[in-house]
Amino acid sequence: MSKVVKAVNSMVSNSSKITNVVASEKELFFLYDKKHKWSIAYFDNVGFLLHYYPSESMSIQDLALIKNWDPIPFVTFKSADIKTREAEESFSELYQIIKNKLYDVDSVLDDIIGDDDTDLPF
Amino acid sequence: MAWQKNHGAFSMTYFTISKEIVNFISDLLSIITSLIAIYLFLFKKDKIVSAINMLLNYSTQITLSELKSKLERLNDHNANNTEGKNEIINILHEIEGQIKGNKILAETLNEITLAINIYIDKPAKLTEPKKRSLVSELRERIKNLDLNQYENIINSKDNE
Repeated sequence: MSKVVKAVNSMVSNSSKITNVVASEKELFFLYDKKHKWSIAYFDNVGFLLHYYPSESMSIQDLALIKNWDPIPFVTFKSADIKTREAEESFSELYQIIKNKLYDVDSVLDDIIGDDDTDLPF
Repeated sequence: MAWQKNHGAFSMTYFTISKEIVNFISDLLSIITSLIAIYLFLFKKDKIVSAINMLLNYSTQITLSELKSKLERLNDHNANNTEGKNEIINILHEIEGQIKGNKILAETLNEITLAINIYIDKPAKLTEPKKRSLVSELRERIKNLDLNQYENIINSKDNE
């Protein structure tokens, strides 16, 4: 299980490789390193859920539209199964990063900081 | 005084006989004891070995539980601020020392100590996600080592 935590932390460290963030009703889908398809979700009673989709043919947009998951292959990682503090923190930070990417919070913040810069005398 | 002489002879014989009996019993007991020793050595070797191993493993076990508590301490600090990072590097030093001090751990956790060394040499490389990765890997390794030790004990019991 430690591999998942390491992978999640690697994604957090290299967050620039996270692209194509799409939200469905309950989950946030994203592409890592232009090839790996993932989704992350948070539920009050279950904690964080990370899904990996091995499917080559489906795009992130396709996955986000799926209602019936029965025929779709995926692997689930639950933070509650790993039960360690570092796992919980890692999943939580990844979730926050993906959410920020979804709403493009980074550029909003940059925009606000940019406003500040114009006031500077130098 | 003939009766006295006779009495002396009687007591001498009595003494010799009782000495013989005591000798016989002591010989018998030493035979039994050595038989037990030989029996234990031949048929209960595993048990003796596992008892010795258990003693040797005891020190490793203590180190492992100490390492586990250090992992929790690592989790208490955040590598994103300087103060937290300094504390984390200190704890990493302690962990490294403890692993290197135990021969079994030094061999099995060699890769981890190499990673720890990199962070100790260049603390700038240590970020919060990297720290969490390290903690999670170390936790997993310690868990496996723990299980292996119990397995050793159980296996030696099965072999009896």
